[in-house]
Amino acid sequence: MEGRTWGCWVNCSAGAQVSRLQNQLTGVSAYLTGDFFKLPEELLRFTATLVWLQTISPGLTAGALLPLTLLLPYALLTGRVIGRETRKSRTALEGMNTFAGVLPALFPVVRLYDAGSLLQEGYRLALDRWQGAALRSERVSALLMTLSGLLSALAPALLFLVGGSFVTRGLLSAGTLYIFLNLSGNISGPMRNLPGHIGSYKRFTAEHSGMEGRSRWDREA
Amino acid sequence: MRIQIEGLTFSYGEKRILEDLRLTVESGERVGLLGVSGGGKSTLLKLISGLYEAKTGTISIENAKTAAERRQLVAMVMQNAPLFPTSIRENITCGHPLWEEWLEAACRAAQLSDWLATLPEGPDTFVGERGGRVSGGQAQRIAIARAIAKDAPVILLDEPTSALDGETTGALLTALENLTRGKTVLHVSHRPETLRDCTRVLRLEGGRLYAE
Ligand SMILES: Nc1ncnc2c1ncn2[C@@H]1O[C@H](COP(=O)(O)OP(=O)(O)OP(=O)(O)O)[C@@H](O)[C@H]1O
Ligand SMILES: [Mg+2]
Repeated sequence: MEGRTWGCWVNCSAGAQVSRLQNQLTGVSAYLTGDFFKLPEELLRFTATLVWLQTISPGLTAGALLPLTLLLPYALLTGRVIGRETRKSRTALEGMNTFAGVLPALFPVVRLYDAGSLLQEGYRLALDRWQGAALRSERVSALLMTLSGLLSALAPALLFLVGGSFVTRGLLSAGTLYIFLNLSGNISGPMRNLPGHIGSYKRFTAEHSGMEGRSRWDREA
Repeated sequence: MRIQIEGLTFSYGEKRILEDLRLTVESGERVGLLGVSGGGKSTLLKLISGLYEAKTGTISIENAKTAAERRQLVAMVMQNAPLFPTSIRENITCGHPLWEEWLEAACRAAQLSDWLATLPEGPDTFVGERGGRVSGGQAQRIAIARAIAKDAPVILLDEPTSALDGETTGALLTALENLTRGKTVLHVSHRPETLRDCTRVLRLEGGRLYAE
């Protein structure tokens, strides 16, 4: 729908505008309070662990990071898909609000032409469309997250395999490997969350772009 | 069908709009209605059509006295035709079952046929959110087709051509002629020249009607 312009804002009824804004505010503030501030903490833990492990065994550290080469492109792709789904579901929601917005102007027509059932049917359809889009969006992100979880589970497994072979070849002590395995959570954890972070960032920008009208946020997707 | 109004007084809150108004429109008569902006012309049409209930005075169309009864007998075309965000077909039928031939006849009379023939989906074309995909003249003609399809004996027109530019008015005037032929008509306008085919023209002033 071509509605993300100021023209639409002018034409929308006040009620539709408020409800739109509320939806978008909810999405944006959920991101800012939930995801946004977790990010620096995770990043700090990730780098600190990495630097420290690097001093103990560079080879093994590289092995632990190997899944990242797969995970990063995957996360970017995931983010794009989630952003698109979010935008679709928001468009459907706007469609529903539009329907509510035209109601006052249509009141005479509805009464004189006894069009109540048409209106109900139309609203039901718009509602269904929105529900479908919202469910799909949830399902898609759940699926993508599961895949990325599997992918990032590779990290400890790889560490175990590579580390085990280092130990049997006498390149690494069993104690060091133990420390490595314990700390690997600090590495695999952020990795596992990476697609999630990118996804919710994309969701955030999709909602945010709706509040600003067509803006630079849209172009990158 | 005959419209008869006696002692009609109407206010929005404290604001008195119509004052002890009386009017008789004979069956098949065409009456024009002029008056200053804000004088209450639209309000009078809404009362007659049964959109509003009159608390003081009576309004009857033949034997129909209640607002709900009057709504059955009236079709109205307003200044800015609002459309449902659905297909052209549903905007005309308003969700009621309608013979295909009847729909086609209504579209023909409303001067929509040529335009519909150019649309790949014909009458099933989506008019867009807020009717965004049709022009003002097309929207107005869809509203006229809707009124024709209802085939009501009383037609109320509230400045149906005022929001449009010259280019499309030709087709629109033909459509209105087809809509109002043989009906009882009350036509509100700002411009006296649009009321030339009326049998009589009245002026609404100070809440009452005067012969022009
Ligand atoms: N729903 C409403 N609530 C309160 N006041 C209203 C309402 N509708 C109209 N009015 C007021 O009643 C007066 C008469 O309005 P109405 O629309 O009937 O005038 P009109 O003669 O049709 O004007 P115009 O020629 O501009 O269409 C106006 O002052 C208007 O502001
Ligand atoms: Mg008016």
